[in-house]
Amino acid sequence: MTADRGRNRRTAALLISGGVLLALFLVSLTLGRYPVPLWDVVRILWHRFWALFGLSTPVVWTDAMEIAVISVRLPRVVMACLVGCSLSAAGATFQGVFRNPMASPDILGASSGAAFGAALAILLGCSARFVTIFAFLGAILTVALVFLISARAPGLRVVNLILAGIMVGSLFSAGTSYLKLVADPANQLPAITYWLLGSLSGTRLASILPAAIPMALGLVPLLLLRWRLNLLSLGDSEARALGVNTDLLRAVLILCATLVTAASISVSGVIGWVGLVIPHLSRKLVGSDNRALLPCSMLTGAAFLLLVDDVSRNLLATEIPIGILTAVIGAPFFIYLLLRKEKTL
Amino acid sequence: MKKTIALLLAAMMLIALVGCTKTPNAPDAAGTRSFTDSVGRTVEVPNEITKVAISGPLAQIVVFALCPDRLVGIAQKWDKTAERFLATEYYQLPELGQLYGGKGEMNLETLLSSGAQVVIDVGEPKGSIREDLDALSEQTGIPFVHITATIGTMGEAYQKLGELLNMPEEAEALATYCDAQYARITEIAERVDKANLLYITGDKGLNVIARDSYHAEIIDLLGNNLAVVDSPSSKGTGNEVDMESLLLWDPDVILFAPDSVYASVGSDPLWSELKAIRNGTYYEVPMGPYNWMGFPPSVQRILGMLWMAKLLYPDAADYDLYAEAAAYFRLFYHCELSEADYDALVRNSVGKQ
Repeated sequence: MTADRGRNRRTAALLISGGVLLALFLVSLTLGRYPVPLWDVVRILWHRFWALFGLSTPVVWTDAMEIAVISVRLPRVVMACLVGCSLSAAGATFQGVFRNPMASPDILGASSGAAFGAALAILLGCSARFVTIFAFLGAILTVALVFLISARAPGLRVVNLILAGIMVGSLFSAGTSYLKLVADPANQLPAITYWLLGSLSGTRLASILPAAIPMALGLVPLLLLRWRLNLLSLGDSEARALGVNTDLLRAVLILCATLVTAASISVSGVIGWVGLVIPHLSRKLVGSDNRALLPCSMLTGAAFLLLVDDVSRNLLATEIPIGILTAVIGAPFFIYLLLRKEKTL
Repeated sequence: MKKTIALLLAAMMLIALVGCTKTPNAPDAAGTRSFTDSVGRTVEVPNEITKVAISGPLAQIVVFALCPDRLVGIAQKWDKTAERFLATEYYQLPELGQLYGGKGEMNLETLLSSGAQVVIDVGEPKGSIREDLDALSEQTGIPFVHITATIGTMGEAYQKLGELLNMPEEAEALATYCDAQYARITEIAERVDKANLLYITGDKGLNVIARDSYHAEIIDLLGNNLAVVDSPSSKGTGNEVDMESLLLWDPDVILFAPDSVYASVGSDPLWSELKAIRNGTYYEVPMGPYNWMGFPPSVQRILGMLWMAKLLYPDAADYDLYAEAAAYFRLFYHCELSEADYDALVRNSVGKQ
């Protein structure tokens, strides 16, 4: 009876967050600094939808309206969903793997590595595409290094990983600080600083697919393995007693979570808090069973980042870096979750 | 049946085409021409450009001089020292934000709704400039152009801008001015015995703009910059040094950046060990509307050159600095510089009289 109620509740929560995300997606497309009437947004999308099949509908809007909706707004809205979804999924996974509620996607130094890579690329005068590639490689290499170090160290595997993550992360942070010191203040330094604050501005249609592929490569295995993530949270000896190869499972989960984290950070810059707060929020909604927690985190994460990005591009005439907003919104929200009396599920 | 559908589709496409061509509020969209920018990119721009946006503060100072009335906004709020000089409608131009490479605080939809017909980037080209500007042009449908400008090539930059904005005469006036002043100062620099000097920045006065660094261009041109360090930093705050190095270099003249320690060194016993402080040959760089020596390293450095030459080599620089500054303000800031304002600007910059 109670199990049934729990399941119904979880299904309802997933459906609701999915519905909220869909609604937000549509609403976001109508929000922007360039005035496009709601009805025209619908007609432009309708036009583009049929154009996919080679069909055409009459054009009654201006070119600028279509540019605003299709090449400025749509890529950003999609990217915000992808990044929010990925960071939250990675956060939930890391929290499960390390059995630590304070784990976030950058626990193994991924953001520090990505930041270093991006700063290096900016210093070398690379274009936006190479900045993304450098950031991605920086994140992956950092986590690989952390993994190698922890594998060689004696003692508890999980603790080693976290410690190595902190060490290597701070090493790369120092490197980034040095790069900022030697960067040219006229344009390189602000570019690095701006990248570190995190922003989805300038997202183009062409940049979505290259980001979505590694995200999908990581997210699909995470979704398939979410039941086994539950076993890991029992503790290593219990999980082994149930016949799980914990080291292998942990390695695969960390690899996938790192892949999605790296793909997100490399396109968005450093966006904190989402990966930490959203899994906690989702736990309040559906409980700590990862079978429901992971999909719920993905949906709410996407919706949350989409909402924050809407604020970031609409509040002022100029862009507000999204990393600042997630911290401003995320920290008080986290405090609220902490203070709220725990409801038993 | 199939035929009917095909006919219907064809009709719809025709309607779509008609709809496209009958865009109401773009009468000049038909008249476009090709423009090749400084990095060899060819873009289509409207014949008559009446609405211009810029990508950063360096471009802001340069383009403002040529066509203040065509700017739809500025990249960065003017420094507050500009308020007393600029006309109110210029001072209050809306802020569009600036671009750093492909990203930036410039909101692309704000840019679209400003109606800008071209976005101008001015400065030294970065390695990725072509790709970044192509991407932005493609995404927004607004041509982005880059105009290369260094202090020695300002004239060319203005000619290029004149070609882009179809205002050859106005641009030529500015180009001639820049070239003439640059030639005049380099000529002075060639025939004088250069003063041993340091340019000091930082709130402790322990940063120098080192010889051969990016921001030292004018300092090295007009003086014997004693700050020779192993790795000149390209930062605006320069290289950090300690007091011992300053004592070792012991320059004849010290120039302090506007926010540095000019006011307090006179009474500081340690600083008084330096020849320049003892002799009173230390000065503060004039600040208004921007630092005359750079930051951003834009066209206002011509003012800095005129000031520095007059300060260090009064015999060789046979011009009246007030008259030159007033001419510059008229040309580049579109305002009259009164003598009282000028005196306030250079209060700490021309020595104690």
